[in-house]
Amino acid sequence: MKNRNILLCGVGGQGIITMGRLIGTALVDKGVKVRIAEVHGLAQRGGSVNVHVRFGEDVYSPLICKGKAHAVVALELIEATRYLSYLSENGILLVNDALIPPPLPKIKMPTRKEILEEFKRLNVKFCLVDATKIAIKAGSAASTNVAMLGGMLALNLLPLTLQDVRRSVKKTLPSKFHKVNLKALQMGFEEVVKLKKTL
Amino acid sequence: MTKYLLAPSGEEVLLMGNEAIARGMLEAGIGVASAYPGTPSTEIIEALSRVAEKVGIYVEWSTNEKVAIEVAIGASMCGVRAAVAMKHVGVNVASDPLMSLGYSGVEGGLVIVTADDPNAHSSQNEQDNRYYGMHAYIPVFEPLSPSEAKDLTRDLYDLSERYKTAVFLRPTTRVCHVRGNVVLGELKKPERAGVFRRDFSRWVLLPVNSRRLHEEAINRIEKLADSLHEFKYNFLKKGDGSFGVIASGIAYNYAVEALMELGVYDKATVLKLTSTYPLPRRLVKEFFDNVEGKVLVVEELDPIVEWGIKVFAKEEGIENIIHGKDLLPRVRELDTSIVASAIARMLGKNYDINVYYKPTLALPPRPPTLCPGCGHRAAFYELKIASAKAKVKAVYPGDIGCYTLGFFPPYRLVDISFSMGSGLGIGLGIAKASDELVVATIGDSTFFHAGIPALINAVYNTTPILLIVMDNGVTAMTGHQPHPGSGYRATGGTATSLKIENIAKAVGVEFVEVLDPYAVDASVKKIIEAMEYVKKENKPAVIIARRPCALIVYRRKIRRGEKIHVYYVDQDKCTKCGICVNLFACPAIYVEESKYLITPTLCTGCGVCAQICPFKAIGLRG
Ligand SMILES: Cc1ncc(C[n+]2csc(CCOP(=O)(O)OP(=O)(O)O)c2C)c(N)n1
Repeated sequence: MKNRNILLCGVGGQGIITMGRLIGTALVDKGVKVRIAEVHGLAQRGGSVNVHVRFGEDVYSPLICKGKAHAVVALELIEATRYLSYLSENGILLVNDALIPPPLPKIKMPTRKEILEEFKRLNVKFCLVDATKIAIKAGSAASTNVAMLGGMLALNLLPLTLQDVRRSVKKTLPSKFHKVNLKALQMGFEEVVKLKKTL
Repeated sequence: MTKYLLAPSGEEVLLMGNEAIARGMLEAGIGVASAYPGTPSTEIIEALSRVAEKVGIYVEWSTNEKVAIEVAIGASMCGVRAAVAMKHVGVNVASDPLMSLGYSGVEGGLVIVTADDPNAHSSQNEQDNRYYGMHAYIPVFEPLSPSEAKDLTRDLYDLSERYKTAVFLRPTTRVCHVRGNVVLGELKKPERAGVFRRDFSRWVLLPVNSRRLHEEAINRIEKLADSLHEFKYNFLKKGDGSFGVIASGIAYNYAVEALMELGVYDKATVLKLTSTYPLPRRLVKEFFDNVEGKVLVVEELDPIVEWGIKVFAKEEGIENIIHGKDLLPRVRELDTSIVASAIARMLGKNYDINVYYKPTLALPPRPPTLCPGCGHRAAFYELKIASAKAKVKAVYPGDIGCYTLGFFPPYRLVDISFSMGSGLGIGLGIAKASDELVVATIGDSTFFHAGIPALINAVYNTTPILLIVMDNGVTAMTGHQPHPGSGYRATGGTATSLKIENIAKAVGVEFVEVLDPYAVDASVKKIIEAMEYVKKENKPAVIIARRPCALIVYRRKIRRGEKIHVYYVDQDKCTKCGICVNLFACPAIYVEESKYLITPTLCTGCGVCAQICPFKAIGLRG
């Protein structure tokens, strides 16, 4: 398999590291070589978070270079914009339709509309999905990350089936969270299958 | 995670570098492990602590790194295999016993993990701890991935015992916090029934022994330099001789992919180095025997391998042009593009880094923040108000931990952040050298780690200073590890909980007060009192602002299914004065279309905002 690079990003606390673990566990179970780079510590306190996911036979470096990510998957709109420079030419941006303002006094915030216009101006191929709404429908906003993972499968960003990821969810997360997450996974998948047609 | 850590041999699992290192220690049969937490090293001991009882090993969080390494040395003196882990700056704290360890050598295998942090992702500096290896005559090994880190850790125990030397394992953030495929090996039954091996000639560093041990240490390193070509983690890949690359640790990954990207991997002669001090002399010689052209040394941070290679080349009369930090940065971390650019420059080729999407929209920064409900935020707010009310312009030395975030606006109450415990110590100097009122802040874990000697100093030398201990019961910044005040240990259970107020009183501080930062008015009053005491009496005062870490409390409530009573803004009463957002800045409070609102899913119900609202516009919901 040729090397694939996917950058996950969002706000500390949105479950981005867990997303990486779910993907990584499923890939390892399929015998795929994977390297996932995370940042812990200070970065986790509500700060901007990114996780580099790389897989394929010739993967050595754990880091994705700018301009080399086949996909950027963002759980928040400002962070999506911040990490756009990682996207490769014609790469795809899967982004959660959520705007989380940093809790800083007196800052100027871009609006949702301005961000989406920026994506369009730059000709970014993007898929906007309200994963938080899906997650709440599935039972908890905390499953936004897993709903997005369902969306990633719908866009064929990973050499994995829904079944592979279900197994990884069961292996990785505490059992009382299985039900809501499996539901969010399925619903995220179905929603993005629908959206994909308009992409 | 625990189940992977003890999974049977032969299984392939996803492990984080730190977990893989822990597994390697278990496969080596360690009996004792100690550490003080510090990113990016923390998960090693965390992983071991979870399985300690099951496998029968002793694991502890020590008070600081100096004690941690001493505990490991003691175990080694009893013939027990031991591990100690710390972040790079932790080695500074442990460096005094470390230097003696370099002389004495070990009995039971001893691996010191120094987790370095190029790019200072979560550190105060980017120091390169390979210097410590050279400084202390302790060999340094750099793993490049979780999988290699596990095997290397295991095998280093054999090497440590064969050469009777401690060894440094030096992963960096991009090994510690990288997950990858790891094939598990056989777990080894831990040996814990040690017996102290009395050996005056090695353990008693009186000059008569030290002079001899110094020589022995040098001989040990020389012997290693002559045998490390056989160490399987170092290897040579031959090319067509036109050029060569020497790459160590994590940098090897970037070098290989860069060579592939440039389409010159087959041509390149590549020396992969895992042992970077001492260098495997014979393998380096063989590398140069196979390269006619230029050579690039690829390593992160300082040119330690490069210098070693250049000295070796000079001694051997090798004349290849050797590049390194002339083409590569000496700061921050590397990646494939940076290394590819350097190789391309050396070879006179073109290499472009293409960025396809460059947004021009101005984005707000998103620095880490104190969590909703954090007692530190309330304490900083109170300190701000107290300073204003008492009309003092103080100097505010801070320290390292979550509470360093008091640096950011709107608090701006951290004037200094140096190294653990230094805020108070530097404050003592400021108080003696100026007329400034000094109000230092320190975390509880930091107080135990390195704050106590400075406090004793303040009493002994009668220094006027107010110390505010931000006591949240745990070492929060690094992920809630317990410390001597927490009441439990690394492996759980119960432990004596040392009270900071008792320590302060015991060392002779006369003004000691404990306050609850959730009670705003009472706290402000006590801080003002303390400031006045310091100014009037010219003596130190200590305030302990005590509130358990809000994140722990919140998670516990969620786990137990307890209801969280959240607050809301009564729009009829709100005058939009902005105090809650502009002075208190809780992430749960925000402004939308000039309306002040509270996100119910973020609010932890601490109620501090309701107290500070001058118009009583914030109340409990429902
Ligand atoms: C010598 C050294 N060891 C470890 C660290 C990593 N570290 C940073 S802050 C901190 C402790 C923070 O705990 P505490 O003082 O209780 O403050 P809190 O984060 O709980 O607010 C640690 C261990 C460091 N920076 N320096």
